[in-house]
Amino acid sequence: MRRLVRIALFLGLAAGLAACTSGRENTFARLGGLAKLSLTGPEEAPPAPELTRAQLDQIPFATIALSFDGGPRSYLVPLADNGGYLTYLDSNARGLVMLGGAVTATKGLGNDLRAIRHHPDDPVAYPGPLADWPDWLYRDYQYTQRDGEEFSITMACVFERLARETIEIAEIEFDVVRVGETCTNAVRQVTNTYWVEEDTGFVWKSEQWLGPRLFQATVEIIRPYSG
Amino acid sequence: MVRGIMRGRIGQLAVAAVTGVALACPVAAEEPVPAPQPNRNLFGMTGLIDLPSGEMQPDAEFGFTSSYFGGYLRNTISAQALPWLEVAFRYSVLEDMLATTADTTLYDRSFDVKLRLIQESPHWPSLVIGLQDFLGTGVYSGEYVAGTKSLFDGDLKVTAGIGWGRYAGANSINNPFCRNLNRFCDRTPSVGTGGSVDFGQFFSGEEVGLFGGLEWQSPINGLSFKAEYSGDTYTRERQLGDFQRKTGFNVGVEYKPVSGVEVGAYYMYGSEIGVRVSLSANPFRPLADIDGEPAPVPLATRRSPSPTAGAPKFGKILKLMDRKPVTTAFEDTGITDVTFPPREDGVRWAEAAMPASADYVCPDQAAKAIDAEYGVVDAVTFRHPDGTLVCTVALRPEGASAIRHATRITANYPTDWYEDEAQRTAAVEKLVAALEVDRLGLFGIELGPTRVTVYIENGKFRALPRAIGRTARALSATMPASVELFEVVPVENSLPVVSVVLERTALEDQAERPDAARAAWLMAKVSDAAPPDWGDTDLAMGNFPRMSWSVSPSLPLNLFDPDQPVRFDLAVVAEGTVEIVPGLSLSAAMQKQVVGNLDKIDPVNDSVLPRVRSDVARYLAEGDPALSRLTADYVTKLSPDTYGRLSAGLLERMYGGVSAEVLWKPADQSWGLGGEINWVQQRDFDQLFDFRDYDVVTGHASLYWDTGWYGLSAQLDAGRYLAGDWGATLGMKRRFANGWEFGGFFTLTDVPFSEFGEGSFDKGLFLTIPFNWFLPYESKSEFSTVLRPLTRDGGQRVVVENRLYPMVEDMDRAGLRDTWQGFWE
Repeated sequence: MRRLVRIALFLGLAAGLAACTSGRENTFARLGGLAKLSLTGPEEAPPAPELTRAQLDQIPFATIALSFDGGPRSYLVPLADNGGYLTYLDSNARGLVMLGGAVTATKGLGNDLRAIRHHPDDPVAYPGPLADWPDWLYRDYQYTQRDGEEFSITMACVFERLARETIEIAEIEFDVVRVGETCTNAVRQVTNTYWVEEDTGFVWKSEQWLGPRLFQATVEIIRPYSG
Repeated sequence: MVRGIMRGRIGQLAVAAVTGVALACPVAAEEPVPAPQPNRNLFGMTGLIDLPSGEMQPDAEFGFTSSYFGGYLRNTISAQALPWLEVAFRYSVLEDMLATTADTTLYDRSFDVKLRLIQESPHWPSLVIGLQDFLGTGVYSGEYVAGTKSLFDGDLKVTAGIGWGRYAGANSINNPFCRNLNRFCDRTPSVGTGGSVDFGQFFSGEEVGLFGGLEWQSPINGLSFKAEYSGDTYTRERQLGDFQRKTGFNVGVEYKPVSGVEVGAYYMYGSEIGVRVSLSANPFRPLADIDGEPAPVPLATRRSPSPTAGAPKFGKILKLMDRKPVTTAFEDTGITDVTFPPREDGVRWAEAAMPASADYVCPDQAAKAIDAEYGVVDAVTFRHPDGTLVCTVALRPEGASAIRHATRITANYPTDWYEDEAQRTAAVEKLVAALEVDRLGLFGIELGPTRVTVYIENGKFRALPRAIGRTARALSATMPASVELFEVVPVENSLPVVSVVLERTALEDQAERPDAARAAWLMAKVSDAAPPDWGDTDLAMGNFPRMSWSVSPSLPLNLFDPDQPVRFDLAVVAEGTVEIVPGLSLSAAMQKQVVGNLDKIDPVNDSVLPRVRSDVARYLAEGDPALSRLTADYVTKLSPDTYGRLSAGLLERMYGGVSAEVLWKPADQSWGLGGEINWVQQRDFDQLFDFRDYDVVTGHASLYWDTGWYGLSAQLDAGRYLAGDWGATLGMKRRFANGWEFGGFFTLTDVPFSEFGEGSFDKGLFLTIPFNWFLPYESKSEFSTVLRPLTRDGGQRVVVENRLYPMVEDMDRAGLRDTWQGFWE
């Protein structure tokens, strides 16, 4: 019994002392946080507010609405433009990168899509009139595993014009063409959907596959980026 | 179509929180397909039940197996050291295996090795050759060749093999080697202290045994059944104990409830029930395969210079990247002279001479014609015959990027900020704050109008390139536009090891692009960092003196003692360091046992050598609390590729004295040389300030080599050991990009095996597991241990806390290259 008490005292002491360091890293404190999280589960996020167009117009920057697998929308603004690659992050430093209408990377989501190598004629990344869209092209999705190894998923993507539609994004209607895209390789088939402005090829809304361990993303352009 | 939408611009960081709603981590359930993991046997090797198979584990698989049947407990640590090499160390507790002592239990240590000769293919089985218990007392000594073929999509595996030694007891035929060479006919049971390899025994004996078996993977995921016929007759076990071998047939059932866990139950030799549990881990299969670290701040791209900045070099710059068809035939453009000057970046940038009759209007459609004529042209520069640069047309994103890069290089950003101390100070303060977000410390900075050198201390990221990449992002956000070159020098223990110079313009053209890490690596200039003059480096001396301390739990182990095979303490270790100036420090460490039984080790010692380590039991019993270290240390850079260290004081729990070391390790070289000389005196058992009578001069010359092959690195130390014995230690370890390490070492000295005692010579295994392998965030912490079958006095070195090579080994070109993929993360 006395031994048990000593062990318990030690564990308590260790847990307490583990927080005692002048260094920058406090592994044990973070371990404790993880253990607590595993017992209690993550804190409930507040319900995402659906913003009105009037509210969105208060944001003086380009804005997108992002949701995953039909979940609630988050509204993001670009923080950087690196040669057309726009980085959108939320307040927790999680988000994505877009080139044209294509999501080319995810950030801070875990199992992130690191980049996509687009064919120079890829109209999703480099918009052009819908009439000029190619029938198909290759696309290369790049990832890094947690062990540091890199891998790519290369697929052949075929476009198909599906229908003319009117969609509503934050209370504004757009006349667009719904374009389906089926990407396949030997072991995988995924689908993307784009709602495209016919004359310019601008993608107002899209549902995009991002990776084998990421949910499908829905991106709606609330206010386009103008450079 | 609604057209009234405002066009937006870039927001600020603070605005990103506009909704106040964080994204949930959208991780789907799909898992990568894991490599097949064949089951293990009761010996902890890949195999059937009591037999090996021709299979192997996935590369780098690391396992612990405990099995029991008939009074025989086998605990095995195994590793798939290379894709074709499986190795194992085993500690067995075997009842009724000794006839001559009061305690008939044999505590046996043994090593196995298994080599793959042929990898399974549609037409060939996998084929292996193996040595069991080749380095031990030889109780389980046996050699084998085994083959396994998978059938029915791997649901059924058939194994057959031939074996020598233990495997040749039953169902045997004549040894074909014995038929041709007499020396293969004799096989005598090994006796003695163990630890040596008796090569003469391998594949010897008058007979070889035939064995085989089946493994069937049931439709229930993870559930499999095994049956085998073993030729091992368990002769010694039957003679000395009451083990009964009624048949050679064994059957069993095995189940994998989750990845990395195997359990099995068996009916063995017609008389015994056996059980097994195996746990496994793999550096390539992190327990936490999600990197939950927040994203880095985006690289801040400088405002593009005025289009006229590139005019002297490119003329007017245009983009023509639509997919509209070519409207002008090449023949109609009048252009005849098109050249492609060689470029390092692979961009196809044509230079075209316009016809003399042409005016000075940019013939952009002619660029498309050139593209169609020559195929995949990224950019075209048009020059009039009179020498006038008319224009440059980008036809593809690669061309636009190359033009942008060249324009930035050409641009002359103002440098007047450098003359203003307030602006310089403000830039440095912003940089400190930006680095602090990623727990990077700015040790020193040398700021110039076009170049900055930053010395950083990485307190967070295991892979150094990730810290360098975060530093580059912070620099891009805080340095004035004219600062084009970023030199990042990581500092470890106040030692600047390597210099990485990055071009800001190139970074701006790589960020977020595909293959960006590869491009950044090709651009980075890696070299040895020059010995710094800290007095001339801003911030550096201002950091000193500085103090650091920590209090942490500790779990020292003592294994393989026959009285109690596992002993351990739970202890608290308090450490503190005062760094007076860069490189010069005072350090102390105290350890106090809280609970445990390490002090109960029997202090009986039969060593005939100076008792330099074998009195460890007395140190553990009498030294609580222990002043485990009290030293003054000085580390410095003697030249760009040479390092020096001087330590004095109580170096470790058993020795105090003086230690000096020099290391030569250029960053561009895969190998290095080191030398260390120590005068040490043995400390008293109470581990305070008294010493015993024994002192010795000990030292080694060392060769370090990163082979670049499967991450293997080797270290050879030759010199004089603590007992005054002369010899050498060879260590090999496999290092992984995520921080895992495992390997082994052995030491041979002029101490005869008979004088060394049990084990014959010093040897052991080492293992390092980084915390971020099982934690979903960045951590530099790790679990590291050295496992010695026995602690004797021959081949022992003094322990010095801050040896130089471990400080620098990850910071050379190869070390950076292996982990560079994290540069942008």
